[in-house]
Amino acid sequence: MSVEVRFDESIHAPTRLRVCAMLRPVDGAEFSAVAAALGRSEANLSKTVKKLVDLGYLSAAKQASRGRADERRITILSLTTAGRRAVDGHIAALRALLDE
Amino acid sequence: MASKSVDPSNFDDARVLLHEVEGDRARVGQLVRKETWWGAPAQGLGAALLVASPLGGLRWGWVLIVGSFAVFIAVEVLFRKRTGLRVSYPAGPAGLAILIALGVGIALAAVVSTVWALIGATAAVVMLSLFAGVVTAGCVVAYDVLYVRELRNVG
Repeated sequence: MSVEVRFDESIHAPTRLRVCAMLRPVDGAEFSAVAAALGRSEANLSKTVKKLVDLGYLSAAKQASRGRADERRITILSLTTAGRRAVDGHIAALRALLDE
Repeated sequence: MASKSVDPSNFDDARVLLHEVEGDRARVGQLVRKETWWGAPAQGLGAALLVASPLGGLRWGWVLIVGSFAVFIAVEVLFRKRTGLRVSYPAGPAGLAILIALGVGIALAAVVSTVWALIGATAAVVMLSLFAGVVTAGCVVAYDVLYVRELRNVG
């Protein structure tokens, strides 16, 4: 599938792009795993995630967790189709900038 | 680090961003690779059980088949629990090629072992099952190594 090279201002902020780019190769990831991989606190990352969800680039699904003693629900983050398209196009745009 | 915006036309900003993305993906790759030491032999066991299932005959063969699928499902559940990741597709063509080859190989081995079990070649079925288990474990290791490499080029 060809990638449309498209600079997307809404995910150009480093943390937004890193969240999207990290989720691009996987079906989904727990919110805590994303925060750990990016070296950010969950509290710090939640605002970025909410913005990406509002943009329609990310979906956040709550799941029950038997593994947690307090039975809190875990949040699974995954890219939407629009999110995949946006991150692919944006990374291609950045690479094209470097190739110029 | 603050989530500051960067200059779209700035060469250095683009390079730094891509470098950070590569670093994040490398960490995802490390998460995957950290699970290979148990995931590969476990999936080898699953394949071996499947190929050996004709030895159980009509009466007990299904137990080995169910056991095989239980192993594969347990690996997936444990992987998700340990890494927090949901991964169900390869990161590139090389990983996909390994998956297809492995699937075809296991299916062929299952057919051959069924024929051998029907003619009473029990020892051959056991040897084929062990071989299938070892090859599967090796393929899983290769798949994980390739996955980490191909992660860099996704998107």
